[in-house]
Amino acid sequence: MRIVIASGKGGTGKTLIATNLAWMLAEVGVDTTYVDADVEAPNGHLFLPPTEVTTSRFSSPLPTLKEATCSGCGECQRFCAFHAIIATTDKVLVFPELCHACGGCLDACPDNALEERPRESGTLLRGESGRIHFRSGSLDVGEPRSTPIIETLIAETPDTGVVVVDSPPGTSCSAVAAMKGADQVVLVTEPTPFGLHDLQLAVELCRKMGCSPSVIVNRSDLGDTQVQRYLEAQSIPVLAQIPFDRTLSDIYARSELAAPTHEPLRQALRKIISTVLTNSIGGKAA
Amino acid sequence: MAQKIAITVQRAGTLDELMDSRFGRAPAFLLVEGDGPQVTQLDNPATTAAHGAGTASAAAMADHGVHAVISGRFGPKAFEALKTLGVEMWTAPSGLTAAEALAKFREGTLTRMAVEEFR
Amino acid sequence: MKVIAFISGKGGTGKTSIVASFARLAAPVVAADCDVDAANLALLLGGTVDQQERFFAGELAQIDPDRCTGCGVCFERCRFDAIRPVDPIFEIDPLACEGCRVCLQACEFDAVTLVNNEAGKVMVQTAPTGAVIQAALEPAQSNSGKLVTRVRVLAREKAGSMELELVLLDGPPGIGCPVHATLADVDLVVVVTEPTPSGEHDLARGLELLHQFRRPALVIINKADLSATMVKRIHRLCESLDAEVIGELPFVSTVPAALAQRQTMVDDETLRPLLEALWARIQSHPALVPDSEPAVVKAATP
Repeated sequence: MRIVIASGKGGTGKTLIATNLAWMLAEVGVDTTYVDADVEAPNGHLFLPPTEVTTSRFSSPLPTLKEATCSGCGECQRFCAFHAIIATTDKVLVFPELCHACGGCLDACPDNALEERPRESGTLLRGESGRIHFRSGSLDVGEPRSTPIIETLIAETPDTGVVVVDSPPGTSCSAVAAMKGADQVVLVTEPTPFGLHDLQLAVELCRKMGCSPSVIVNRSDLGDTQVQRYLEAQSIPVLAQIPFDRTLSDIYARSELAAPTHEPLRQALRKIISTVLTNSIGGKAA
Repeated sequence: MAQKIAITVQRAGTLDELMDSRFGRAPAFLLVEGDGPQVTQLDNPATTAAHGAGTASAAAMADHGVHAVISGRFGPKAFEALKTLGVEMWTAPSGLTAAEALAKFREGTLTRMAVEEFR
Repeated sequence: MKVIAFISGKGGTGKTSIVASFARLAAPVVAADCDVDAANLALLLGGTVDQQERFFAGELAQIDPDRCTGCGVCFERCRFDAIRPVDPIFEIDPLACEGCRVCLQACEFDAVTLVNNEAGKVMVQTAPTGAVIQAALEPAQSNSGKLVTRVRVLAREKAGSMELELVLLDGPPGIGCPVHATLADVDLVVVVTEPTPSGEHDLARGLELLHQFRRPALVIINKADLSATMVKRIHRLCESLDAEVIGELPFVSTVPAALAQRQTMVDDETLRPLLEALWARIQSHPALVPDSEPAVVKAATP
């Protein structure tokens, strides 16, 4: 079972929930994998430091010219929807940052003059954090496209026990990549106008993907009641309300897990786990 | 054959239009042949491109046989693409009309971009 | 005209509240929200939308069910998992399609066509602080880099037509494509961080990106009283990466409630003088001196 912890807005407490939820699941004896899919700003390792780490470089295929056979016809340049290729009579220049690795230019070339070679753009990591299987991805600084590495990270994670995915924020392609195929999507929000605005977008995204999300309201006592009213109107299940607590922020600031010592959070997580594991709310994201 | 010069402009029109300072996302180009008075308008196909406006604009320059292009600034990918395609890049200060930029080019008082110094 | 971008790496550091506060102090000014999948700045600055344009990004494939023979060549060729079987033929998953045209090229039966992809909209709003540019990306859309570019360009145009000298850009989280699009044309970057290990980690990646982009960077530590140790560590990190920390702001627990009342941090008595001092520091940066050359684009004479 794969549970994706997501949020429209950044900084709502997604990583706090995801890392502590993983810890709590393992604590109650569930075979648990934590996946940090926020590859642009991955922070899960700070809270669930992995040991027995193995890393591998992530690469995408990049078209490259095999010099001899190119006739300089320019078909590759004309085909490329992403304007990633500039072809002259004696040279083919490929812009890796623009290439989506669709492979179309290879087919478009009448001279069979292109081939694909791997090009690295990130690192994949796996290890063990106590009883939790840990996986994460990290996009190389300067690389623009995070979606391919997220897709690979998710695809390579065995779907055994419970997999907790820490999604990137937002509602665009990278969040979609993290949410695709999820059994449950849990949105973490905060009761501010920002939180509400971004929550609405995230709910819309979930529905487009064919799943019904549930929600955790973090810092539930700071802000206003609009998020609450929205959730009621939309009949979206609320898994937990977590009030603001300075000690929780302090624990987070020390990059420690809160669940082992913080009783209110522990209780909230227990409730979340029993709801998520027993209930059939949700439905698989397309 | 007379050399063809392109100038990025804020909208397709005559040489009295203001130069646009962005190469890749300029709305249009004016093409001028040699010293001749004739001006050809060219809408920039890349303004609606989802990706790679700089490289797409560069490709359009080569397709139209442009020898040198005058603009305010060139992005790193546009620079690389134009260099590969053998199109000269010249930068003019913003606020000039296309005619003024062209005059400065012919006087030889514009700067030619030759060294890639973006990243 | 000068453009200042605010980024954070990590979300939730308080960047948008700080940008809104500076917009209040700098008014009249153009403020633009480059976080196009979660645009919040306009919520804080208020005002009314008086200009709106549809935003198209690339194309999406469509399969004509009358022409599709179900041969499956497109399904095999598509690398984005964007073609799904609906027995006995195939259809496009618009959420996954990247518009690469591989299916169009592969289909022998001309069953694939391309349609323009309406990905969102861009709005110009008149607010008490001046103009606010914001965009709304449809959920599940990619291409937010291009939409960011559109927002940035509109912001410059608006500043030009209103004869304003300053544009503030509220950047997206992360370090990927939308951030690159935000940084393309800016004079100065301010990174808003928080004193947590996550904030520190993402700040380091953000500063490395700015180094690659050769953009001058200033740093503000928000919620500084959360951890004195982490504040020290962030100072050391910034020193080693040649980024200047221009000040700290305390965590004020009434800020979220104030946000609900559409109040910005400058409305808070404790924070206002601190924000004024930070804004003065930003304004005095050499990169913002009128007529100074852009920091990045250097040309050499042949």
